[in-house]
Amino acid sequence: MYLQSLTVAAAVGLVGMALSFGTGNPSDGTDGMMQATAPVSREILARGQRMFNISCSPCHGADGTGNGPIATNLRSKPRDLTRGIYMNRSTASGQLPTDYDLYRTITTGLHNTAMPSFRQMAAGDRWAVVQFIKTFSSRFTDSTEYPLDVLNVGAEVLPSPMSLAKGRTLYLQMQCANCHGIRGQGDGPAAGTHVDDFGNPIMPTDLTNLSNYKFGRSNLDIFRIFSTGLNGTPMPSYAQTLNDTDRWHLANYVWSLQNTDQYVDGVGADSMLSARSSR
Amino acid sequence: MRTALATLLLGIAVISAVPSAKAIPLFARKYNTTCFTCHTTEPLLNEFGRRFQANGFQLPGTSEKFAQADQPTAALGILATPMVLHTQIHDNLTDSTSGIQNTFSGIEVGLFSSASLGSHFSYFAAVPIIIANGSTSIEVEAAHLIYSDVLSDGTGSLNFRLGKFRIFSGFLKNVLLTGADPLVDLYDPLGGKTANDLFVANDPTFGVSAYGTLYAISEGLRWEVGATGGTKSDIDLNTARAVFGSLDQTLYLNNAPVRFGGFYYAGIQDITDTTMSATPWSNRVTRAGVDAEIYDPWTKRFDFFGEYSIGKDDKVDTAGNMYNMVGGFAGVNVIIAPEKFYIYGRYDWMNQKETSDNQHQIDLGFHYHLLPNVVFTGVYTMLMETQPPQGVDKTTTTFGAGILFGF
Repeated sequence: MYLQSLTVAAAVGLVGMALSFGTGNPSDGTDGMMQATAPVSREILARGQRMFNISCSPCHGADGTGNGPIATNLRSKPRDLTRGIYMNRSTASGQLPTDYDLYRTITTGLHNTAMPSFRQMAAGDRWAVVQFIKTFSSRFTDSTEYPLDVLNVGAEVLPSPMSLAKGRTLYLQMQCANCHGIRGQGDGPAAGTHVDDFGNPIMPTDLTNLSNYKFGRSNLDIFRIFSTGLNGTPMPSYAQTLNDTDRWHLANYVWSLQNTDQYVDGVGADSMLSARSSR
Repeated sequence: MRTALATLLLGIAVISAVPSAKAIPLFARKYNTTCFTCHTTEPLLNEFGRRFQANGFQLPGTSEKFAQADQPTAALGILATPMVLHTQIHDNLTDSTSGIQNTFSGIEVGLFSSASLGSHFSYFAAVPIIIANGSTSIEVEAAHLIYSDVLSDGTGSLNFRLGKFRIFSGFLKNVLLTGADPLVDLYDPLGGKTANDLFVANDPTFGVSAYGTLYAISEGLRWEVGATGGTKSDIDLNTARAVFGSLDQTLYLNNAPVRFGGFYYAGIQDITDTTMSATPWSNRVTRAGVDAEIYDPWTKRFDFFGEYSIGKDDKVDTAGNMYNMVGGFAGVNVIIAPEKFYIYGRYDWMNQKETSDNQHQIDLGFHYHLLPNVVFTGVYTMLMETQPPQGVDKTTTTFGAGILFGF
């Protein structure tokens, strides 16, 4: 289902790109593998640069280093676009994002950060910005970076008491609580010790707080993060260590934390803690 | 005073008790982002916020049509600022303390609203409600329609606005963190004696203007030209007419903004003051100035700014006396801790030549964010006034503390 929606969204995006730019489909997706995008025209890059300078440079800087005029005052620092390291992706851990990943971030923004939603920017301008952003990093023109392994979500597991209970077990087994805390409140023993690849201090997400879900808060969004990891941060991908079904269980459990952990099995975190301490 | 302090402490206690509150004001709510996207700390606008404002209260690079179903069209914000003040007035000539006042400023609740009315159309309105000393006053401080991005190129290079607005709001008003208005903006040659007072630069005016930002010129040349038919808060089209304009160029130095610009206002006002003359007379009002702002290019934590301005009124009374004023200010805002703690300082001066009225003012203060939208503020202001021929030599010092709420 998610793959279908992703495919449809990507198709819409690519059609939009083609309509906007008057060029052919720049990608070739087969079996979840996406090839390098085709070269884009100078006109599109100029259009993207113009919009980037107006809308993006105050935070990301005109040179894309993430050191724009207002970056100093932001606790969640703007992305250094010259590194080609992106968190919000549908590709395998360590890989570049797809064009649609970048387009989606520009369109929806990142919740509870200084990155707003630019959905009111003309679609053609947003696609042009995507192309211009890619010029900041040589990774996007490096043929060894391709093809991109785009996420295949497999068969979706719907939330159920059994799925949530299984997810809870996996949450503890996979040491998620070490960073996110046993209640998921971002207060695990390792919280406060992390920096990202850019040297900025970062805190584990409080999974019980809806406002802290930057990249979407549905179980599909959470499944995607478990599968791709967040490049540049300590959050790993579990694509190699958990099968699709287990990642769905884990995603369903984390999704339930946004509401109340009583969904699990009628036993709250406090009860679990007291039970563990009494052993 | 005790009641005021109790109110303040109660407010702090309430805020402290709800640390997880996530109330998001006005535009942050509309655009699903945080206050700090546009503000260094309220009301200080950062580079993005200025571009947002210059684009008709829409994100830079966008031209809004009707909002999406999941994005509210209208945004309503509330800003409340109760303050406790301790003021001491000292008359230096008599070498005595003329008065000590401990006051509660009351509560000023500012209602703000902005919305997209359709493709290119939007509005902005600000209505302060002041509750103090047992009375309540409500005023439509600003209310104007905006036709943005006229050229539909997504850059906001040409916009129009019509209604009541501050004519020089594009630049230095955005860098003033302190609550004290600049002396040169409050300059009033007649001291509020007439029924329809002279031009005061700080007050919103009814008018129409064309404005925009040309991003093809370095990091943006902001421009504005317009005409106004009112002074202060009144729409007295029959008694005043003026033209005004401003230019403001932005450059980046190591990604740190450097700004410089200037403004000009020229108008004619027909003044009626029955205590002085049964017939009105006309006064030509001219204001002009230059201003600059520089962020330090290394840490970007120090924001230095200043303005020098002149004012000329060719006939302030029936005798035809001319008044000339020179003045300005210089200051700095400092980011101590991002999204948390800020300090500022500013020095103002103003000289009215004909009366030798000199004023100097120092403002020092801080902003501490208890929450993104709840700010604990403190301010110290010292105003020194001298007027040798009349013997005025007075110093007024004020300590203030309060909480700024934004919802």
